[in-house]
Parts: sequence; C-alpha cells; structure tokens
Amino acid sequence: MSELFGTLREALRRLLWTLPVLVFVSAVSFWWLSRWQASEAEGDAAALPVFFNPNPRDVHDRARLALEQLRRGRSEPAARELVQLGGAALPHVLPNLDTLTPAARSELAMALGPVARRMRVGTEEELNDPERAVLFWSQYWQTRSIDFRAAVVRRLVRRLAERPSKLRREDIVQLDTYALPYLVQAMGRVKTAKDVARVQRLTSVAAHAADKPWTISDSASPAEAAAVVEQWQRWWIAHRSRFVTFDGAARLAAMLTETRYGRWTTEAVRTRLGSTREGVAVLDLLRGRGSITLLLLGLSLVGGYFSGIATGMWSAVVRRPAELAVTAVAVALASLPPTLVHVFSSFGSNVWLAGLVTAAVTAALVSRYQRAASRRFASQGPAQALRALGASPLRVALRSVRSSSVASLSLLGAQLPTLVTLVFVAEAAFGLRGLASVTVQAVEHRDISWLMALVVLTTLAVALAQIASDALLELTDHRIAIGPRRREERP
Amino acid sequence: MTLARRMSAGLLGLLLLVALLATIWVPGRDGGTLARLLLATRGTVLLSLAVIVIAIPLGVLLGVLAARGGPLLDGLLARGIEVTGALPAVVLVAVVQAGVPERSAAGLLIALVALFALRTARLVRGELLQLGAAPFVEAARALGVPPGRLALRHLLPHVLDPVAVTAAFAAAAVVALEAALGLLDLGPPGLTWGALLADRAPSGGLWAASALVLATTAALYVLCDAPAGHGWFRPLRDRLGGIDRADGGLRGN
Repeated sequence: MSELFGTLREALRRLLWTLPVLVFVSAVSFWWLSRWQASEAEGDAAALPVFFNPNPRDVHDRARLALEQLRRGRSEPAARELVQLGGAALPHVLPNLDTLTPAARSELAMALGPVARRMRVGTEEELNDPERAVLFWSQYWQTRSIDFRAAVVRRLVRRLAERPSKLRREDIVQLDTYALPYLVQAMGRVKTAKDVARVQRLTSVAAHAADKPWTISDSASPAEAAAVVEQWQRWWIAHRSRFVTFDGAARLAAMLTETRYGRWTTEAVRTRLGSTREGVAVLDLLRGRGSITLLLLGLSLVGGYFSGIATGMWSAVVRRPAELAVTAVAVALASLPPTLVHVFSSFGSNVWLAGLVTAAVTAALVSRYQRAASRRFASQGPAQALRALGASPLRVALRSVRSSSVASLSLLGAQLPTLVTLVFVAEAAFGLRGLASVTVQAVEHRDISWLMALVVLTTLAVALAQIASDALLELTDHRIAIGPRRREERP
Repeated sequence: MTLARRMSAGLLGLLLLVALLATIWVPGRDGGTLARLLLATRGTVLLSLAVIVIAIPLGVLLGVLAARGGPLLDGLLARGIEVTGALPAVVLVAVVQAGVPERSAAGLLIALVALFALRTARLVRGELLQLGAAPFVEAARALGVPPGRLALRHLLPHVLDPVAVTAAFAAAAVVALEAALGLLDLGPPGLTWGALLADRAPSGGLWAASALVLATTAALYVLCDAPAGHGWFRPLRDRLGGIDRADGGLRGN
C-alpha cells in the first residue's frame, strides 16, 4: 500500500512538472509560428509584442493620444479613434474639455457627435453646431458622469440580464462601449432556453454599442446562442484593451495578457482552444476528427503491445529459421511504415485495416525489445533452474512474462510520438478524415490556433503516457524505483 | 564483414554515387520514370546527408557542452530534449513548415536537424557523464590533463562508436520519415522518394521508390547493428593516444 502511495506521489510530482514543460513548449512553438505572421494578425495584434508588453495601451492611453492629436490639429485620425472608443473614452476626454484650445474643444465635441447619436443623447441641433456641441458635452458630463462608474453599470447589466426592460436597455445604450466589459462578462454560459433569452438581451445591447451584427434571433437554440456568445468572447479578447483601463494589478497582468501569446492563451482557455481560420472552434474540430485518430492510436497501443509482447516472446524461444523470419518481418515493418501503409492503402479507405496495419507496425517495434528481454531473462538463474526441472523454453518465457515485459511497457511513453506519426501517415495513406488532414490544411493556411492546440495536446499526451508507463513499471516490477525519494528508499 | 553488411555498404555507396551523378546529369529530363527516380534519389540522399552532416556534429558539440559546461547548459539541453522528445516528428515538422514564409527544404531540414541533434546530444551527454567516473579519466585528471584536452583526446574518441551507430539509425529514420512526410504532403518541394510515394498513380517509379526506401532503411539497420558499429573508431582513438576504456587504462597513455 505504501509503495502504491509512493508511486502515486511520484506521478503527481511529475504531473506538476508537466505544466512548466507545456508552457515552455507552447511558448517556443508560438514564437516560431508567429514570427512571419505578424502582418496577418487580427486588429491591433500585429503591433503587439510576442511575450511581454512593458506598456500595454488601454482606453485611457488611447483617449489621451486622441486628445494630443486634436491639440496638434490632426482632427481626422483623432475623430476616427474617438468614435471607435465610444462611451468608454468619455471619462477620459470630457473632464479634459477645458484644458483644450477653443478650436480643439470644438473639434472634440464634433468628433463625439456619432458617439452621441449611438448613445441616443442630444439633438441634431446640439450636435451639429460646434459651439452648442461643446456646451452639450460640458453639461452632459456634469449631469451624467455619475453613471460612468463600475458599480452603476454592473447593476444595470445585472438587472437587464435578469429581466427584459426597455428602460434598462436604454440606460445601458446611453453608456455605449463603457458597458461592454460588463455585458460580455454577463453573457456567461448558455445551456437552457432561459440563458438564450438572457444573452439575447445582452448581445442586442452589445451589438449596438460595438456596431457588430452578432445578435441572437428569437428562435435560436442554446447551441446557436452559445456560438454567438463565443464570437463575442473571441472579439472581446482581441479588442478589450480599447474599452477598459489597466490599473494596478490589472496593468501588471496586462503586461502578459496584452501580448500575442497572452491573447492566444486567453482565447484557448476561454473559447474551446480558440478557433481555426474557418471560424470553427478547435475543440469541436478535435472532437469531430479526433475519434478516428484515437481509434487508430488505441488499436496500435492495445493490439500492438499485446501482439508485440507475444511475438517477441515467441521469437526468443523458436528455432533460428523462424526467428530470422520474425526478425526480418519485424525490421521491415518497423523501418517501413510509409511504404507498407502505401501498399495496404490500395485495399481502400478502411479504418479497421488501417488499425490492423498500425497495430502490426507497433507490434514489430515492441517485439524487438520483448525478444531481447525474454532472451536476457532466459539466461538468468531462475530460468535456468526451471529449464533444469524440465520446463520447455516457451513455458519459461511465459512464466517470466511479468518480468520480461517491463522493458516493453517502459517504451509506452517514449514510443507514443512515433505512434502518433505512424497514425497520421496511416490516415493520409488510407484517405481517412482524422487529425492528419486538418493538420496538413493548417500548415497550408498557417493556422496558429490548430497547430498550437496540436502541439500542447500531443505534448500533454506524451507526458501523461510517460508518467503512466513509469508508474506501471514500478507497480509491475518492485525492483524498479523512479524518482529521487524512491531511490533513497530502495537500495 | 558478413555478406549482408558488404551488400548493405555496397547499396549505400551506389546510392551516394547515383545521387552525386544525378546532380550533374540526368537522362531524359522530360519527366520519364528513370529521370524522376534519379532526381528523387538525389533529393532523398542529399536531404539525409545534410541532416546527418549538420545534426550529428551539432549534437556531439551540444552533448559535450551539456556534460562539461555546467548546470545552465545542461538544463537548457534537457528542456530541448524534452520538447523534441515529447513532440511527434510529424507535429514538429508541421510547426516548423508553418513557421517559414514558403514551403522549403530548409524548413524540413531545420526540423530534422533539431530532432536528431538533440537525440545525439542526449546520447553523448550520457556517455560522457558515465565516462567521467571511469578510472582512466580519473588517472588523466590526476596527471593534470587540462579539461579541453581531456574531453578531446580521452573522452570524445570513446563516444564516436555509439555516435556512428546513432548516425546510421538517424539516416534510416530520415529516409523513413521523409517518405512518411511525403505521403502527408509535408515533405520538401521537389522530387524525393516520399514525393514519388505520394504520387499515387501506379507506375514503375512508385514501386521503385518503395523498394528503395525498403532497401536503404534495411541496409542502414544492418550496418548500424551493434557488432558492425563497434570498433569503427578504434584506429582514430589509438592515433589520438586515448586510453581504451575496455582495458581500464592499463595500456597507458
């Protein structure tokens, strides 16, 4: 029992070490993949650093920059920026209205005209005349600045999420993009019809503020509504820095999250491993296409290991001609997966045949190690004693299977990358629609999300298989101890 | 040398010759089967050679640095090995190919060099750490042999045999992997055995490419069989004046 506990403790320790390895692997892969793709990045992502952003720009910085541009007479880009920032920029520009020159003040008031129309405040007479517009915005901020507070908006959004109300909706519309963080946060998960109604109200207001068409119709199912919500979440990860301020701890966090790697990580965690270039969630694609790959991998592991151990044991005890034949087949199978798969593929697109071929190749790989282990055991004392008592070589091999198969079991983790490659080749050769075809397409289209998900998941799978095979090894053979503590315990 | 090893060496020599000749002259460059086969042989052999020529010395260098260079280098190498060891070759190649501006042999070369250099480095590091406690190394240290000379003349010659076997294994793996990547359409541009395999139209070239992949990998496996590989570098070791590990340093320096 204590040995089992020790094995589990060691497995847990190694499991924790897997996390930094995963981060390292994903960071190196992301760096490589994103080097040439900065120009293709969405939104302002192209200007972002890859791993560390010492100066993440928030709505405050952007609004201040727009004001600076207005002061310098560059009103056109400033107006464009202010319209995009919307209501979220008002707490940062309107208190500074008096610090501007009269000309810049008029420019600012006129630039905010489209925002006011979106917020449904002010009249056309007030917004079209520069002097009246300045007066309007001054008065607006005096009377309404109290509404631009987190607690107020959070309460308004919560009430709208709870119950439909035209008045509440209008209250939030008047806050424009300032309410977006709270609206996106309140969208949450969609599982029931009640959730659909809730996110329908929230997305309607968000779509108005952000000028996006992502709304939910009355007849939408929970799955359709969830897809729209995920679209919002994805957009929010890419654009949230335009509508929020980074203060204190948020600024520190933004130094990591407002990077290309940070955005990919956030998207992967929040939106089912991100989305492919075609807009399909990576996790959905993995579920859809991964079944064939997993089936082939399972057949390779189970069928290949069982038959490989049996073949290896048999080839260790049979006479030389048979042994040579087995060895020749094993070398041919092990060294030539692509050719074999290619030859077999002429039989048609059959997943079971593909599984049979991958299992045969795995068996060939395993049988070589098993044969060597069985032979080594046969030359040791206990086996010699059994032989002296009249046991046949095959019986000796069978009696020693637990000890001799340790070497083959220890290969489980190390061989998994080879098996994945083998399964991918089998899929391609047999024309099966598994993960291989998606990966080839991802390479062609430079699909970072898919490739990163593949890298992380395969690394995780290999690490887990390695830990599992080592644990199995310890439990199978009590002489083996893996890990520093066990080494101390076992002389 | 047994007949099988002689035949294997002969086949590999012939392939090298064909590859070199194909860089100069190919009969009927208009796309005939023989021309395609020769060009494919050139592509695969040159790729394998390039991987081995770059990856193996690089791996040896990294292994020596990791074993003798302190914990930082050792740690970095360990992480590198974890990365390349944990990633299936096909995923590694896919990531590398997606990260280069255009599909090229250079992308594949980078991936394969990274893969095999780190595998070699792991082997060399392990061998050197094992040798570090050997009596003849202790003796050389006691005689005041400087670390550089110790590594070059006493340690390195002892790891060349396993490195030679690894190189032959790596060459076989590159041939098989290139064929696999050709099937997946992730291989290098231009004609290789993998590209011929990927071309599913039944032709002489397809079967010839299959046979060549089979023969080459089998020949490399036969050549890198332990008894054949063992002792390849003994003359070099003797010339460098290193102490043979087998006799425990009794022969002297």
